[in-house]
Amino acid sequence: MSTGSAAPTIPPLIEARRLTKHFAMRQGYLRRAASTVRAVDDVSFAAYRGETLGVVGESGCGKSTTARLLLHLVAPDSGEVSFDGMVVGATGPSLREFRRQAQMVFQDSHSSLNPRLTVEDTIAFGPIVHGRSRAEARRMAQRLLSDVGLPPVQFASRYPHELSGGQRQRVNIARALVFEPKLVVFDEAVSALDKSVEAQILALIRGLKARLGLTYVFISHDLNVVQFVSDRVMVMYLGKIVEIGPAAGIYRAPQHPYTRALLASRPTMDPTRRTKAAPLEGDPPNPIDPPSGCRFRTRCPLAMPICSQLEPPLDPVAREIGHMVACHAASKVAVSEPLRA
Amino acid sequence: MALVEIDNLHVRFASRRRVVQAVEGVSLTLEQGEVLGLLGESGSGKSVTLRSIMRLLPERGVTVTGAVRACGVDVLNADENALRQLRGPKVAMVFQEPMTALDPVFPIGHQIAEPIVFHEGVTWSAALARAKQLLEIVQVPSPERRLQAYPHELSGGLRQRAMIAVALACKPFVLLADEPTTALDATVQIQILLLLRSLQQELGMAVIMVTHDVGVAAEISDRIAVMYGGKIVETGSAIEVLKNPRHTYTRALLQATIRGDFSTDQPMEMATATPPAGGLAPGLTEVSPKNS
Amino acid sequence: MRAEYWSSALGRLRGDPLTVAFAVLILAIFGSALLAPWIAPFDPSAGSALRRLAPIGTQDHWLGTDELGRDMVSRLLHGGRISLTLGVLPVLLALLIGGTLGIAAGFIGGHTNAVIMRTMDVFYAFPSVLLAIGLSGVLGAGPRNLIVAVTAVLTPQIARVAESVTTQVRSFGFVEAARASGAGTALIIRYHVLRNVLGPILVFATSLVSVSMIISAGLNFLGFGVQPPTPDWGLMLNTLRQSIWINPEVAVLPGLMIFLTSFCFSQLSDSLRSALDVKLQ
Repeated sequence: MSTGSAAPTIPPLIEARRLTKHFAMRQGYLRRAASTVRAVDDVSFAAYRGETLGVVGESGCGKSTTARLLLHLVAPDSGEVSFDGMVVGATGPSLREFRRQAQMVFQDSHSSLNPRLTVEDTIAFGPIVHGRSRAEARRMAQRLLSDVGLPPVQFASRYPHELSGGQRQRVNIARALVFEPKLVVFDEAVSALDKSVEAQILALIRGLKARLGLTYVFISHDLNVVQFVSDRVMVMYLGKIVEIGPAAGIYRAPQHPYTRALLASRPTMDPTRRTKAAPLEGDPPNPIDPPSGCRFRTRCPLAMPICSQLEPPLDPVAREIGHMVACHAASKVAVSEPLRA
Repeated sequence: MALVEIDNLHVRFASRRRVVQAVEGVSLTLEQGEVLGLLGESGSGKSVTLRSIMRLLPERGVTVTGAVRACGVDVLNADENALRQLRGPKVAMVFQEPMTALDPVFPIGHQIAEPIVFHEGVTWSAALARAKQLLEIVQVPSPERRLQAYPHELSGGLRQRAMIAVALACKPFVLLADEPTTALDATVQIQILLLLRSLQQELGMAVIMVTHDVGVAAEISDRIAVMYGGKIVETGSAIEVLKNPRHTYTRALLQATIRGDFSTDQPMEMATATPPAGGLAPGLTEVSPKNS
Repeated sequence: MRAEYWSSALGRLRGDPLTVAFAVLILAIFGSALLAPWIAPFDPSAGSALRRLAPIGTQDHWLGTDELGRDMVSRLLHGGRISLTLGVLPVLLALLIGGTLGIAAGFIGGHTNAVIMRTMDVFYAFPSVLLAIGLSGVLGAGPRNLIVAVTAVLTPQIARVAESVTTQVRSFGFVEAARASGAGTALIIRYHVLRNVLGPILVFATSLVSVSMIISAGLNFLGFGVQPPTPDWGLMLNTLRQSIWINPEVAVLPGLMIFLTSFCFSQLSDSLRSALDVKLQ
């Protein structure tokens, strides 16, 4: 339930169940918790082998935190993650083992690569952590460098500041892939790049996915990029999933008013058909004090009284397999069935 | 008469180790009431070109040649006094990151009122009253209360609106916008773009909008100039440039701008991964409606 | 990991003529102090009432003699052994102790950080010289206690710098990436953090050598630490004090040595800072 499964009989590669993470904002000398940022609240979803799951949302929606919860880079307050059917850390794979199978590619910020390490050493760190000899780690690093299009002869002994943005991102990708993982999470991996470079990097990761049989979770604020790479898409707002389903379905017929507004907010490419009015007014609210019931109701054109009382559950969309939406107005199921607690 | 005229502008940055020709032979004009989109990727020289209009470039290590005229002022040769009179009442700028462009220790009401007091010599209370009106114009809710808000207390969208209010304070003829929406969320970005468009039409301002995003340029520009490697490679009306791009780079840029319904098999025709710091890659020459 | 980062820094240092000059000077000072027992012309304790306070340029005594007739050259050379040791050793110890504490506090954060850093703050709150004097007074005279006192003064300063730099580095993306690789704290510190923090810490420590020398000299001057007749530049300044009216050039010589050494270390620390900055190239 609530996993957006396209084919319910196939087990997912990775599954998140009811992940919750709140951050306490501490104030005062004694560091009392003054308020809580409800970054991620009761989020459940799955990614299936061989697919790309796109995750979109604006700032404060919790997508980056969700990614980190998924990879156990941040410990959840409640909820669990299972990989290949087994819960990570408990009965299933150890955290260390899990790290080899599930990796992350970070955004190219100025600090995503160690400025004092050569490119080769950065990539070789992974194998060294897992017990390989230095020589072997370097060999693996060089192989990965050529896999991502950076000939080792030229690039192995370069420092990050000698590389362009696109080249640095290739290094980030190589760093993740050196483990031969099954799952790769991309957190805004192409957001800092120029459009032309972005296109090249996306082509690279597409090729790698096909060749290495990988599964991707692709997080981005750029709706066009997500549509381009994803098989399924998950839309988040203020720490909750509001819609999830096949990419084609979501982009063609978005059910949630927020998804509709988000898609309509993309600037036009056609100067003869300009946007007439902003689809959504106001700013994304603060995750510190989210509205009661449905969190989107304060900006929603379809808000009804029930929206402030009851959080809408993720319900299937009629006549669309695998497409779920959390909205009282959109979900015809909620209208006719008795209220659930 | 054109409000802004740039004629054969060259800007060179020289440090101890490298020399970078940031802008090479750029010429453009901005007519009254029109919106010019300056479209290009990072390193194309668009921001430098914009800043030269107000002579906001650093003093040391920078060589500028050519001619820049803004509202009748010869910018490159003007003295401090003339420049001060230009910046604010005649030409104003909106920056990309309001958190750094706004002063964190002053409330935004003060920052909006400051140029009014400085340039028009009115009292602070009169200036603050105008500031409140400006906040209304930029559609900030509860403007009375917001006058006393500090930049960090506002959301990204409100901060950007505040910065636009600061720019509009002295009713400039020309508004220069350097990627004002890049740092904003999608739903806020479209709000700010539409705001700029309506303000421009209401106040009859001329605008130069620097952006790397084709969509942003399409939404707001009457004319578009495409920059690459410090040069303008194509100019024309927005419709011409976007629907019938003639230059190889413009075509490649439009293709590389991913639209989800895009075929994945098209080869990307970019000559280099990043535009070279100075000079065009060989084989690229400028295209404008004049020399087709 | 290759030592390429350090070796390329060394290359940059070698290329700067001013740095080389200061380095040569420092090496000369250290070298002569090291070789003092063999190159000193006279026994530093051998005095002669007859040859008291001979001026500079006297035959056999190029730099004159002190108030007890002891040869200045010999005393300066031997004194260097003590003074330089008292200058450098506390810094090395403080680097070890303060550096470890600071890096640990910076990387672990939370309560550990609070405990360590607030303890350091207690010491840091005292003015350095007063603290050194106080500690020496409590511990008693003698060079060993002097070293302890000066180390105690310098450790909190290094710990502060170390903690501040480490806290910065900890927030960088590559640290998170290292954790995502499954590495433990020790490995992350060794492989990723150290090479980013050692630079600034080392630079700061080098600048402390001059401070350490001056504080030690001051403490020796006051009578803590080294006792006569052991030569030490600070102590020599004290004993030559009365002779300043008679033979001022000789009286200032020890002070000149302290100044020269301190100055060279300051300059070297500056050069080290520029050389270690990978991006400035």
